[in-house]
Amino acid sequence: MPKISPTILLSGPGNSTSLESQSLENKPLASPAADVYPSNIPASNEAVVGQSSVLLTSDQTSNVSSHVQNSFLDLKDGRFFISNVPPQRFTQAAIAKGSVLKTLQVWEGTITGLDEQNFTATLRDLTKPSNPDEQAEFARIEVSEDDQELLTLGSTFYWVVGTERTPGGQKRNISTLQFRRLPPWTDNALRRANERAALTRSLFRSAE
Amino acid sequence: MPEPEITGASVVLVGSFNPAIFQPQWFASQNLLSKSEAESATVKVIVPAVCEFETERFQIQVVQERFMAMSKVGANFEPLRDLVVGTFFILEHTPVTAMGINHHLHFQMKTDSDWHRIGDRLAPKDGWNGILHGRPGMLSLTITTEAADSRPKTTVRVEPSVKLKSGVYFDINEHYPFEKDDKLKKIMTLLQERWKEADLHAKNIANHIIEWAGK
Repeated sequence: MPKISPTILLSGPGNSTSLESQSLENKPLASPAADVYPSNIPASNEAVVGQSSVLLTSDQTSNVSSHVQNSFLDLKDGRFFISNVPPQRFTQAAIAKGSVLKTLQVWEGTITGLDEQNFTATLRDLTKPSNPDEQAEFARIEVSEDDQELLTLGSTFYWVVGTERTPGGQKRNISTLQFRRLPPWTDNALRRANERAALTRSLFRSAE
Repeated sequence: MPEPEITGASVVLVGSFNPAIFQPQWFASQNLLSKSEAESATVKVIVPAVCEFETERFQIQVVQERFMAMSKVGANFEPLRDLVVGTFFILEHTPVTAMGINHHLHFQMKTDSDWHRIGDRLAPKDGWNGILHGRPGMLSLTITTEAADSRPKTTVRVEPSVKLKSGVYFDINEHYPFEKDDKLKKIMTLLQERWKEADLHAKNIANHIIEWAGK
């Protein structure tokens, strides 16, 4: 039975929309690597660290690039980009309990093709939006069981590349696929809203 | 431009909520969380007045007047936005009077003297030396500016980081008040539109202060 210890962050003035760190007791850090909260609150020995992460379930010895037939991740000048040259190895193992993830690069992918083994996607670089879109291929087995049902044409996901720092101080490269979970009508409504906003902006600009 | 060592984001809504609704199973039933993420959630408390739980990617905390969703350290922030937008498109009749987009950034300074310099520049100690014993130090500084020119009210809090030795913590809040009649869909659309800019805005503020303090 997990220990229940509320960590009330929401004290402060009734209309405040920021977090109030003063409301927590000032406990010393248990271990920096075990602290999974980004706010400036000392880690508690009772704080529950993150459990194993999404989403890649393939063999730990395999490599993302082995499933990406035409596209690979490569690292240059501290940034990841997609190339045709087989790159360094990425671990697909789940993030260990107590580890801290540092996201280095994120792409938003939209599925453009599917077959029994793989799916292809158009990738938009969210870390550096000025980069052109890329195409990549992934293996279905890289997607978690829960997210398999989300593998449809047009569905979107985030491809996150980062480093994991374990409580013991070990660092390794991590690559994960996180599928977007938005009700379809939400996505449509937001897209329409964004289009209306863009139209309004352009009308204002042309009137100036 | 220095990169933060530890990052996080949170969204806070002020309004009127029923905390008991916001259970992991509800999020899974609405397909906002996967079944396994909801089942493996750690529930801290669920009572009529308070609900708090955390999953591998998020922490959710709801009291009657406020809703908070926070990303875990270093996580990709986009799913946090999706979670909040999805939730309140479903609960579209929830009265919300304000929204805050918060970024939490911890920067590692190269040396102790670099770290001290930031505190000394933001809060000069001249007035305190002599009247306080020892070496006075800045514990927390909050600066706020009102909304203007379509920019939101922004509040920045700077503190020594409790997570990094010789680290500096920035908490940047963008506050958006709404009228009683404003529809929640409008608020969620604003969240969607501002998300990326708010992230860049927060990093620009923090980087500016670090570079200015270093001169």
